Amino acid sequence: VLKSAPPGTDSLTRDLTRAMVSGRVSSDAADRVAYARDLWPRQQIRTRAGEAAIAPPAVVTWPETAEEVAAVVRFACERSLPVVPFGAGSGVCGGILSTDDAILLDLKRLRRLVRVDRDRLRARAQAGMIGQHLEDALDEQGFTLGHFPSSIYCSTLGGWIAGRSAGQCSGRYGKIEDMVLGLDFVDGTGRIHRAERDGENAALLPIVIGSEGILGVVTEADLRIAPAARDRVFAGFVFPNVSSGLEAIRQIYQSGLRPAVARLYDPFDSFMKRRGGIKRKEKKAGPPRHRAFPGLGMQALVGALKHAEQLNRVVSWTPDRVLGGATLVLVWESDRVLGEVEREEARHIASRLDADDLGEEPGRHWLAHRHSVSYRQSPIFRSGAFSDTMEVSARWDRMEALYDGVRRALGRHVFVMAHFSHAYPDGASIYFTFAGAAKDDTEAMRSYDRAWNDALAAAIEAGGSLSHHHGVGRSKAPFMRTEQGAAISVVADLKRALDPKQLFNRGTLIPEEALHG
Amino acid sequence: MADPTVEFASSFAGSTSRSDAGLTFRPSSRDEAARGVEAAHRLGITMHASPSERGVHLDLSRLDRILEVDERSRLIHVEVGLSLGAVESKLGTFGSSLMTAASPSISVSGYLASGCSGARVADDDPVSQTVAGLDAVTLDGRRLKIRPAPRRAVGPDLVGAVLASGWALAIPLSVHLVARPRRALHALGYQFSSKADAEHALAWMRGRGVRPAHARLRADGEGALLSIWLEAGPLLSPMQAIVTEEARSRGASATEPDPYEAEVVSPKAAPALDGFVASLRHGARSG
Repeated sequence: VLKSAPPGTDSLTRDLTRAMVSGRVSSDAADRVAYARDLWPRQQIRTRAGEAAIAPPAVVTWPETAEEVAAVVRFACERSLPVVPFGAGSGVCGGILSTDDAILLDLKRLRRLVRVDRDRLRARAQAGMIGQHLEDALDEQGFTLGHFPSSIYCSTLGGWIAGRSAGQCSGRYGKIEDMVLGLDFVDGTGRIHRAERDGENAALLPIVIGSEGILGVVTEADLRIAPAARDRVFAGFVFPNVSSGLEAIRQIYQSGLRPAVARLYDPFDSFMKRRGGIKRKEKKAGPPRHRAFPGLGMQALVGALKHAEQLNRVVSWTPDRVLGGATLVLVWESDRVLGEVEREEARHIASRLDADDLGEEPGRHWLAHRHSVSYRQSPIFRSGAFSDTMEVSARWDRMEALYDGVRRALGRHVFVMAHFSHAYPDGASIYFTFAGAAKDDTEAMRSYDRAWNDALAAAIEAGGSLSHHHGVGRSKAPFMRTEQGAAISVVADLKRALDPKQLFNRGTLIPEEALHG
Repeated sequence: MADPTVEFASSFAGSTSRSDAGLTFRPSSRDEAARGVEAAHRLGITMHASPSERGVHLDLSRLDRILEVDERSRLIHVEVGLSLGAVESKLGTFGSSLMTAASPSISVSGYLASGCSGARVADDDPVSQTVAGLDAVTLDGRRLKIRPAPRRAVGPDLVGAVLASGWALAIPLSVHLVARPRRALHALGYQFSSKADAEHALAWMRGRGVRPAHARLRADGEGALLSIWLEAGPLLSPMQAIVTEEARSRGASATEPDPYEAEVVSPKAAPALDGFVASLRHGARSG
């Protein structure tokens, strides 16, 4: 049930409408509910339990220019009203929760590809562009940003920058922070700033990127682009175990090879991919079936998930060779000749580590289904279970400790699988996928929280980082002091400098008490 | 009013010296450096990277230890007073190198102050970083320790911010440097009729997948000389073909490249203290 808007909302809406040129402001219940949460799975459990509007704002605005964003922020600053910048709402860490006096800034009307510099391979785009629209607009002109998060259909450029997003092709193009050459942002007083990698306010660029909307609102960005990949090179290998697969990735990146995609699935994840994903024949085209109640298969799965610890034990006892080993998929997106030479080098490395060559098929199949997995979460929640993902990173010498430690910590509460999908010369990230079930939503929430708390503590203990590309939001903010130490107080200083009234996105990224420390 | 540097000098008697140029503080450990920065803040003294009549010259040359070598991750954790040559010597024992054109005689601190001039830049290889983590002290004495974990998404990139801001945000005391396999370099040079043509060619070489160890563009009268160094190995031939194709398609002619070691390494000008940094400093001072 949506609480009614707080007193004064009507006059707030009226005044704000006057302050904006476009006058796009709404306090309608439907709009407030639509912006009341992101896709943090913890909130999905609450929603399933009947709490649809978890944190609705007072009003929603749709500015069309940077100047209009600045006008809204100045309006809020004069009245000390909280402001929540909003991209497409697909974050999974609770990063954009409002309060009932907040002004929500939906940036999706800032949606233009401003220009493309074909000679210098640069583009300028507005922050509210949906990722796929940006990529389509660049592709029409023969270019790519090279950034393909699995949320590309439902996330924005501004959201990527706010959360230091990673795409599937990070092995060649890097993460979003490697692509941004400059940006414009509005600070907490309504001033518009420019920051450039090699120019004006260079120190502000790495500060704003990744700040999750607590320091400013990004309105436009200059990006490095590349010629669109038209002729990819593929490879696939199966390794005896995760260790040898990881060693191959380490050697590949340290030797200077740069496959755009390098995905290593652990033996159980590989097994599942072969059974249900990679080898499965295409279903007939048509609208997906939606069931009000879970089918027998799903019921059985939910029943098994209630005994996750035992399930994990069975999987861990199963020899890797029985599950078929660990599968590595590699895809290159450079000039074909260069890609082919790199593939030969990768083959030598894999062969020395006892891998079997699977040829191009796993890579081609992965490309065809690169976004499919992201849409399987709803049936799981509908069935009464829950699922989530956790992405952590560490240097190479901590990688196996991180993998074992987090897996063990999660495995006490939920069923867990893992793959490795972003690698660098000095380390890599691990992507854990987990699912659990309990007798009711209250118990599910407890189980969910215990799994996260134990896993984050294990990640820190193993020398890893809390997040590689999903960000912190509210879900990991309580752990930030453990990982960052005094750095938290530096971020709080930055917030006081850029957002003196602390209007932006409070509660996200750093614990509330850090702002008072 | 008493000179606060007198109190500072007495607090750090074993590590300070006074000359005509003023007071120099040469801490013998990172902890002492952090304590000194905190004391300077408390006493209202400004720390300078070079000798200065006002304030204190912070000389980090005694911070010259190798703290950790992680061969598997090709990371080396060093204090900033160490010379690049000493870093290279250690890395050479396991076939690695920073692969930088910077002079081996400069200190890591000087290298950082130059913006790691001579290192492979992000545009050449976005996946590889130069500095993976650091231990720094903020201007009010707080210790900022960012351990290496590649491309973390846990808020602002404070490593990048510290390096880009000179000493405006924090003073690096040690850094985790990323090494690469030590390889011979193959140099190519192309003379372009305009700087813009050379810039466009370099952008397209990178866009097609070329990852030079180093690239240098020097305006030369009306035109520009583009020097590119590629690592020896199996990727040299296909990368060289792309470089040649892009250069020739813009009318460039092959010529002698610049000498590799000619990289001029000098500290970048201190970033302009706009209102933001000034307010941050003020905020730090006022606690």
